[in-house]
Amino acid sequence: MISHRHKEPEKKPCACEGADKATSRRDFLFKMGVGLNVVAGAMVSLPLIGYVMSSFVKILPTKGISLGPIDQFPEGTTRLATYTNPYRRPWDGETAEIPCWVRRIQGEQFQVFAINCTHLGCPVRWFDESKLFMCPCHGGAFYQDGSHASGPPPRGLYEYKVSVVNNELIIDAGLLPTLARPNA
Amino acid sequence: MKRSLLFLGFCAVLTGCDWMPGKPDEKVDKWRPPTAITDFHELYRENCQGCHGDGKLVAGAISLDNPTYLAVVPEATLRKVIAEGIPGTLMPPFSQAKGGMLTEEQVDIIVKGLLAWRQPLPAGTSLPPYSAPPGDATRGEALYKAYTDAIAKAGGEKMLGDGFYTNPAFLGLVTDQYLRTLIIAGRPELGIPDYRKVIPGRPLSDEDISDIVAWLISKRENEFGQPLSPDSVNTQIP
Amino acid sequence: MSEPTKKTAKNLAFDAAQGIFVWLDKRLHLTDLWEHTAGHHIPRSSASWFYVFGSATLLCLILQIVTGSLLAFAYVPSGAEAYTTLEYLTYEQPVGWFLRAMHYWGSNFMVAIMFLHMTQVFLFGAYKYPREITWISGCILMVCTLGMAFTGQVLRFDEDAYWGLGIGAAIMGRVPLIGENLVHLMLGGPIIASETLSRFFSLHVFIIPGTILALVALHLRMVLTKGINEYPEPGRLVDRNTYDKEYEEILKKDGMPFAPHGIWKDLVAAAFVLVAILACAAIFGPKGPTGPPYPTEIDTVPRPDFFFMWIFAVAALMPEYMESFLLLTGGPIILLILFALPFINNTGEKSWRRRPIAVLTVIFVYLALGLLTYLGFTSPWSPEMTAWTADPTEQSRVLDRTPLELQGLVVLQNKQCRNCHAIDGVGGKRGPDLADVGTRLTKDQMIRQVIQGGGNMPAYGKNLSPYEVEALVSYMVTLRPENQPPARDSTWPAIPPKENVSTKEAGPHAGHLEKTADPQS
Repeated sequence: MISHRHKEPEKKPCACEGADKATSRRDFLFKMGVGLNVVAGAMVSLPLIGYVMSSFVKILPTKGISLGPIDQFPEGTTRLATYTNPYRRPWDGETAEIPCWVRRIQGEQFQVFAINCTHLGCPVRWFDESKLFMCPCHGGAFYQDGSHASGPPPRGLYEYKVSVVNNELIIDAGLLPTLARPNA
Repeated sequence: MKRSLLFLGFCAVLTGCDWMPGKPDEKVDKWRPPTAITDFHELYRENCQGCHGDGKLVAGAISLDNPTYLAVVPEATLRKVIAEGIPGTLMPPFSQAKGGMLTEEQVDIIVKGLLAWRQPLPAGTSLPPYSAPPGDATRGEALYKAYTDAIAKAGGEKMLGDGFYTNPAFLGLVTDQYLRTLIIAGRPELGIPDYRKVIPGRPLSDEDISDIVAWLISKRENEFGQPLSPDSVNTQIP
Repeated sequence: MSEPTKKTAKNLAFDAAQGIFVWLDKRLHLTDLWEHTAGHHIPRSSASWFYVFGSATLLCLILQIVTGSLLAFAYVPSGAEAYTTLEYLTYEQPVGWFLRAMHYWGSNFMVAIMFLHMTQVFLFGAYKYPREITWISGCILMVCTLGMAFTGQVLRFDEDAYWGLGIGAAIMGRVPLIGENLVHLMLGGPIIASETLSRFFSLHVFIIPGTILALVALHLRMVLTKGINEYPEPGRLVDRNTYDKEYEEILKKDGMPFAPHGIWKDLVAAAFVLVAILACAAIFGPKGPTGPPYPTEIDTVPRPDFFFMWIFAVAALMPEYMESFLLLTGGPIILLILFALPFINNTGEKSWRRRPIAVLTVIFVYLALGLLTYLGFTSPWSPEMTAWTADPTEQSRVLDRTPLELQGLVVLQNKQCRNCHAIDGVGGKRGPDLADVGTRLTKDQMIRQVIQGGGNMPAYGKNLSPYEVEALVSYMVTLRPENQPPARDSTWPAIPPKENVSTKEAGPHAGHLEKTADPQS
């Protein structure tokens, strides 16, 4: 009796057919459920990815910033100057105040260097006596014109584009200079 | 045992762990900008000691606790030298306005601290003026000879090499005023006497000092070993 | 009849408790859960002191979650406020400093114990069949833990954090093609600012801890399903066909429930770790905050926390041509090796006694990391920024010098030579100590070295006047130990002939050179 009932589904195709129909219907519904969720998931993830990757995709351009009248930089000296990050957000606080080294060669000839060492971004310090920039992290050193003097940095200091307009020193700034984007 | 432990724990909770050695001390551990340092000794140690020594240790440049120097140097000059340096020499400017790291207040603190090192000189000491134009070089030659003899007598022969103060490279690195200061104040810590002890029995007069300086200036050369005319030498004061 | 009433009162309470437990158990299946988790059977040999590091790491994680959550009561992740709230936590909030200290030391212990755990697992061959997934999930947990360490260092938003981000961005900027985009992604904008801090806050507080909890669940699940590694015996090899059966037999023959019979060592270790963290917090206190994260405060010497000090050292010591490549691929390569390990070395000997290469690897890695960390802390490659004005000179190097030589010492200080060159150990360590330079270089060699630089020394030619060079070099030739002869040009005879005539060519300095007391002439 038991064996008979056990064998029945195999023997009677009609019963199987009905079962198959039901199974295939459920299969379809399951697949549809999965499919709907794939579509919905994609729709949900698109804005998420867009939100996160916006900063990856959107590269902001540099902006012209005034470092003030050129008279404050005596000829033949290199001085620290500070500007406010043009992309400053109200809650940035003092992290928006960015330093840079201004070298006035003579007249309206200027070089403005980023504070960041080209090795790993540490703040270089200017020493007027030896006319060297020295980095406190891994010992990189640069000459007064920004060229590489010694240590691990792969290149000279990053330089801002400089112009003098109406006796004011203007630089193109706003980005953290890195090897990928040396002109800050 | 249990009770005392409980008691200890209770105390710990009550005092908020404040008794523990790891608790940061706001006065010591809290960050202050370097421009907020107002302790003279700390400022001196960080900014002056390398070249000028610390009173006990001697260094390359003149010691700033030299009593004669402190007695003759005008306060305004001292301040100007620290703040602005001496252009063309190895004395760098320290005030931020001139590219240094110190605020005006910190420069003042250093000046005050140095002047606090002043000691009363023996009664009846007549100080030569801090600065004066150079005098008669020919007269200075003989005086300079006496000067170096005095050093040799005091056991300082080793210092007299290289032509001593007449070495052109040395002369090329110092101002006339520094020569004058050296003659007046000497460097007793090294065995170079001040103006009072050069000639036995009497101090060098203002005129003597100016003459020696004039003789030294006449020994200045350019980089090619040619003598310089006295007009073209570096006479920036201080 | 008083006794039975007493009994009933006791029994009543007991019955009530039992009733509540049974009721709960029927709904929550607590007994079942216990049997399948804490009560699961482990080989008796695995109840070893070597097996306590995993649970100790987990304990640290829990402590970090608790202390971290509490620190967030006061912390504000904004560029303008973070530093202020850190100072508030450290100096004003009652017990705030202690929580910061516990969180800091908890992280140190977590990283350290995690590596001990990993080392033990590696040496005991526990990554082999059938526990590959346990190992890999553990490796990802390690990455997450280090991620927590780095992001946590950023949340302590001080100068080290700020410039640490700068270092991170500089490394990202070395990626070819998409470097700039990655920098923007990491910083949340074009420059280090509030948005940078906010995204590291999110990583540290939500994203990575969430990932860690999920991975810990997987990790523990694997420990339960595949069993804890039996204490390896030399000579008992792992074979994919027989291992599962062997393990079952071990459990049958010599197994015991983890709780309560195996867990006591973990409990003791846990208490020990907790006390150690508390003690470190109480004695050493929290780290920092150091100076504020204001980019304009450039009077700073940025250093990472100890777990990244070795990377900091590597960055200083790598030759330039391999630097970008190693900085970018080093991490992935190490990870790849770790992931591949259970597949490369899937079966065979487990005991470290028969795996000399494994032992050597561990020794090598620990030695290398230890040495690099030591170098990172001493940073001999960094100039000392205040050495030129602050460092005194040994008296024997000052006394009995001519005015020119003394002036040379002033030049040496003034031109910041001292920032990189110590004299008698005082000063920078970047270049060689100058205390015996007079025995190594002749005067001419010194002049060449100073003017042209070379050997990682900048050329000072443009920045030193001839007189300065003359004074400097006159001083340097006097720097040598007593009674040791000065360096000699190899073309000069060791014993000078009697009528020694200076044969030097006449140059711009010839006049001075001959006048000065040259030790050779």
